[in-house]
Amino acid sequence: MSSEKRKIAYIDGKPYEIGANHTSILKFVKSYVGEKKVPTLCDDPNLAPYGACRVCSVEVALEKDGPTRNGCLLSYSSC
Amino acid sequence: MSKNISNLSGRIGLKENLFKQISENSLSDSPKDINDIAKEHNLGVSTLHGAESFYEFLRPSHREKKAFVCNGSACMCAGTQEKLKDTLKEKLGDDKVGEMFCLGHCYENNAFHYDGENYAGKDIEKIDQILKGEDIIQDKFFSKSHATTSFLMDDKLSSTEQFKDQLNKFLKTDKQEIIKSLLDSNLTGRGGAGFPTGLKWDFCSKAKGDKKYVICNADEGDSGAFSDRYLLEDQPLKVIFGMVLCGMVIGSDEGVLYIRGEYPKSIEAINGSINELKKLNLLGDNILGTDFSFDLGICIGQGAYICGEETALIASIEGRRAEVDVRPPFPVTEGLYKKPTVVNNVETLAAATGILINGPEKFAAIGNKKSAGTKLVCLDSFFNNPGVYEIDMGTPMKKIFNEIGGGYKEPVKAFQVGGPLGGVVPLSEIDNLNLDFQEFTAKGFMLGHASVVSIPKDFSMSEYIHHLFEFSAEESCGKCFPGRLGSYRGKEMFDQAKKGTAKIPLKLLNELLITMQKGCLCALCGAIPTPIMNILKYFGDEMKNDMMKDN
Repeated sequence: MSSEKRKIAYIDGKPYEIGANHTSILKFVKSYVGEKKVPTLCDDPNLAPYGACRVCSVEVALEKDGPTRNGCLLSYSSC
Repeated sequence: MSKNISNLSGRIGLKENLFKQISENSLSDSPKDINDIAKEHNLGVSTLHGAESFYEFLRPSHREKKAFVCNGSACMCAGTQEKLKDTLKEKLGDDKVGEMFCLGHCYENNAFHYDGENYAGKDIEKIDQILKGEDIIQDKFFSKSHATTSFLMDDKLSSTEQFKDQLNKFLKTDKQEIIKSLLDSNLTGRGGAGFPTGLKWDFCSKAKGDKKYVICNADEGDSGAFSDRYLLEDQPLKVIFGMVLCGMVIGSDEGVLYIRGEYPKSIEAINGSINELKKLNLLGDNILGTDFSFDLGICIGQGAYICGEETALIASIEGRRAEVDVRPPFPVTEGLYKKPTVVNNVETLAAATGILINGPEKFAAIGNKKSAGTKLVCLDSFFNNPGVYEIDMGTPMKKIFNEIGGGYKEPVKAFQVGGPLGGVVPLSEIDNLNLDFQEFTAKGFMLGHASVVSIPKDFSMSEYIHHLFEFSAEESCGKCFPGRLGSYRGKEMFDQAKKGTAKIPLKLLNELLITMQKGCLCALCGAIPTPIMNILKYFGDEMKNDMMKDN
């Protein structure tokens, strides 16, 4: 990501910058609203994203009737 | 973690793959200590135990049984299985008869498995001969092509000479040209997801990897479908040819057919063909004196429906529990042993062969861009002409059912098209549908494998939903929570309705179905709500007595 082109995403209507370490939507949201504010079950910093609990599911809103995907695996490029 | 296991398993390789070793050891009369196998391969013993305990056929409770009665949807609707079970129990003992899900004899029912062979139809009358180990003559299913051009049922690739001639021709063809032919044909994957086949081969050919694999997904577990069985047993060379060409195009030298253990004859037919081709140097090292080598093997499934899902299938071969993995990465970049892999369904590979031999323009001329070419359709025993047919995409369903299928033997009220995850289409909707993937999806159904299970007029729809939930509860891989818990909770609801101990809370059921549809990791538990929602929509009135009043 080039520095002149900052990428922005919105949480509850407020804009936040997407950082280089925000490799998934879950990481992005957790870093701004707080680790404990986003409930997850199978997410663990020591393990690769597993995608079993589905608690961090997000809806792809920019597509009509967009699918539900895991936040822990969804990178920005794929939405 | 699983990445390490994949890599360790990759060191053992495909030929003596871990899954094969685990299942052969487990089924052997004098099994080795599983700790020793684990140690040999530098793997944790829990990995091996985990994998072994995943499969129905490897469980002691299964292995104690002698005969297995088919509990697929078609045999259930035909109502033949209770009597069959009683007859077998009488002969073998009450605790010696188990169940298997769909043996692919949906056109004659009465299906059961005994001593490595499948029997169906009138075979049960010869049970004494079967138990003595005598060979009996079995009825074969009826197959016929009704297509403008036959791609799947013709005899252009039925002998090894023809295989050799065609291979000679295509070994000299430019790889890009083969990909272009597939793209021009508009062939989409026949396994259910409908991804363009040419694109998949193209992606994999461009993927970087020191080793690549071709996998044929022959884990046809969909009840009502026996089209893959037809291809494996009657057109094995077409399937193999598709794999060899795929290997050539993507730059792979090794492939495997993952065939379900419920199809012993298919395994035999493919095994026979592979051995014959190897003898003639049409498989193996330096095929026909060129620098292209391609080896082919078979992996025998051990009774897990989920292995039809590509990531679960890969996990299975690697000797992990056959649980679904999240995508991306897709198998074309990180597949078997984390190497680029093409996973294609049996029918897709056979169609690719048909397209390359007959020309892509002929295939593209049938149907439309998104549903092109011909498709195998399986009709069950409620039709006057049950069998497997090759049919042009776009053909009206009523023509298929009434003319080709010859109408119904008994009054039917609905059809489950596309296996247990396909939609339930009421009889009245058949007139408005054509054989077209998008059309089925737009109306809330799913064409999938295009297998047809007829639901007779007097069959309880509540019972049918119970069957579907029971199926997903049994076959769910157990990884994602909505799938694992959801299918079980659904089963419980209908268990109680069946027993009459409680009525179904419709609101709760709808919430459960939406959660499963939106939240599940893969198409097994994520698509089982489709037929259930169809039934609730079209047959809600019939189920009124099973429902709670205030919701």
